[in-house]
Amino acid sequence: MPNREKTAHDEVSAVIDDFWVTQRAGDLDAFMNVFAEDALWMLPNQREDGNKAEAREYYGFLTNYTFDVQMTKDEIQVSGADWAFARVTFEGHLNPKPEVEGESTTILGRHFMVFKWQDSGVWKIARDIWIMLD
Amino acid sequence: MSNDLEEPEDDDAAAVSALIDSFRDAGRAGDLDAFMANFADDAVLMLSDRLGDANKEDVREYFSFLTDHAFDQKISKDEIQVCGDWAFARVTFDGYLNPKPGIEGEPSRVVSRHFMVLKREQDGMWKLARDIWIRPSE
Repeated sequence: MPNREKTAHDEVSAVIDDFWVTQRAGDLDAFMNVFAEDALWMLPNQREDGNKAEAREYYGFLTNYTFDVQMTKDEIQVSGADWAFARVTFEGHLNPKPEVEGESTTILGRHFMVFKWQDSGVWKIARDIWIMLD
Repeated sequence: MSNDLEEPEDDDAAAVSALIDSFRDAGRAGDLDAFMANFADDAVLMLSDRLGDANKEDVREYFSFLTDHAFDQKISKDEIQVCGDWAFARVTFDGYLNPKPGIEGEPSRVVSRHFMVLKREQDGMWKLARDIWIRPSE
């Protein structure tokens, strides 16, 4: 019998990979698909939670930019059958797509993500907060 | 600001809620020892001024301003979820950091939105195990 906790750990780790792969590809639809429909974001500088529609608008820049980042999974914890959390550090650049004018921007920050097991049988990101480091 | 959550759903949620209250109360008292007692010994914080994790010793140094300042903040518990021996909470602190009597200085506006992870210790007590926060603009 598979170790459920280890399996969940690996599945959550794969979702984190998808988070970055879709960002690197600048694929907004695929990127948003890693989040639960009722996901909440604690967006930088904002007093109120952001919902999925607002997050999609926030990440609208992915239509013109791609991330070129390295990420480190600092911690993944599975909490019972339905919840998990992860801490991730990212470092790299936000680059304009070839057809877009603009400068590359250096980025360095850390995410705290919460994952929830969905009725559909997959893990999705349910909460996200991040800080940018100077 | 009032507590946005309704009454905690069970004893664990109530204990987590009480721990959050004790952060507020220790901050209001400017009691650094009481404030730090809410952290697990192996707590890890993700501070916005450093790349690596901060341990409990780092956190005590970070909050050492409580020796001559005290918070006057209200809290809003936006969400509490308990999952086994772990729980997470999203909490907004809103108010001021004031110099204690006899200390020169002006009150500073302090608003922060926290994502806290809490863990049930072996003695059954809940402690803060992880914390990250943002500072929303006014």
